[in-house]
Amino acid sequence: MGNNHDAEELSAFLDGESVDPEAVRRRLREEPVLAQEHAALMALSQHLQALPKHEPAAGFSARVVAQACEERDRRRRSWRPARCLALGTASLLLALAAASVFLPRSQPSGGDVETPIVSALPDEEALFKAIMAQLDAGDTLPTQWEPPFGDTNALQQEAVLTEDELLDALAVSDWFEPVETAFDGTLDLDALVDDLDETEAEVLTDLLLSYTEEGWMT
Amino acid sequence: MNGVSDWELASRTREGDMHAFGELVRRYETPVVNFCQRMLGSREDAEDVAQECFLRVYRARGRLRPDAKFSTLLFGIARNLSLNAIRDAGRRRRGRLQSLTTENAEELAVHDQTHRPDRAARVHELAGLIEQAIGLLSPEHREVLVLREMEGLDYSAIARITRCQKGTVRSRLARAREQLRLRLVELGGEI
Repeated sequence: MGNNHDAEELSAFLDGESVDPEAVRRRLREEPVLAQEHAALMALSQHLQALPKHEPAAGFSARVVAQACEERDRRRRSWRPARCLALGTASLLLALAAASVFLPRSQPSGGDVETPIVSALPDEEALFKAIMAQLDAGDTLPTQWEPPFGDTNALQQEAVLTEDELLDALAVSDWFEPVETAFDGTLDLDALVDDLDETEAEVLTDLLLSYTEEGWMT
Repeated sequence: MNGVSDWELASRTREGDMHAFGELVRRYETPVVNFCQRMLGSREDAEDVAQECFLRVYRARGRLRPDAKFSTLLFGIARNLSLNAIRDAGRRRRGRLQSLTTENAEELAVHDQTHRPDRAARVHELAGLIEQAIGLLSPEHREVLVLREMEGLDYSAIARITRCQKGTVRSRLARAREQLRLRLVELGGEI
């Protein structure tokens, strides 16, 4: 069959995807060459569909699940030290802030000034940035959204990142230049992490994991 | 977990249920491995790519959206990973596939004629030749052919997986069939 249009029509007809199947049937009745071509395509299709399936080796699914569990546990392990460091730094900053309130200090002329303890504490955002600075990372990333830090802040507990917000934050950050999306819009995190240095990769992975696990990110 | 939809299993996986993830893997291990092996021509490579495919799904479990059939998502990942593997193995793979030269094809044809096999043996041999002929197709022809003929996907699903228009799928499939028949003739296995 030398006609590309006919070849496409027959192929689509075979697949049940012809736009005008009745017209193809009519031509098959009237044109022996076309009918012969159709028979050959059908025979080829039957042979293809009869080919044996390539089965995975025994235990394939168990290996995949085991690998997934291992990755999950490894990431959790790598996340915990970073979180401990963050909480440790937070505690230190809180202690310093509390000390700044209660320790004797020089008073300005004009009488006593009472400083409410809450205003003496570093605000949550500053605290979060300070912690991220301690982690040698974070530059712009943690400041792109409400920092999900501290159980005492009801507003921040309500802060939930959407994937789009996360991607927006990553996209405007020089630190995470190689942002890529793949596979129907899902973020190919591993490819992204591959392009970061070790510290950056750890911090990003920890951040995303903590945000996901704590329910701050959907 | 029979009767539980793929996306329900994906949702349970997201909540940390590894049994649900295992069920998803079991449901799709054969079609995914089968697709990868047809694409790559090697069982070992196919299993590696299929494993990575499922792990990608697992890693992205928090970001998956049920806006398409789960199988479409899965084949999309398998397809991308397979193409990456083909690119990575480029020269070595091309060399291996090109070992089926016209000379080899003539040898196979002579072999066929001298043995005068019975029908069952002939069908078996033809299946082997078809496998070889599939391996000689370009990746873009191979993927649409395998997705359509072996996995039974419709043009819309194939278009989504291969990220092209339905019209492109339609023309590629016609071309793939034509090329397959030509290769079969070269190998002495005309249908």
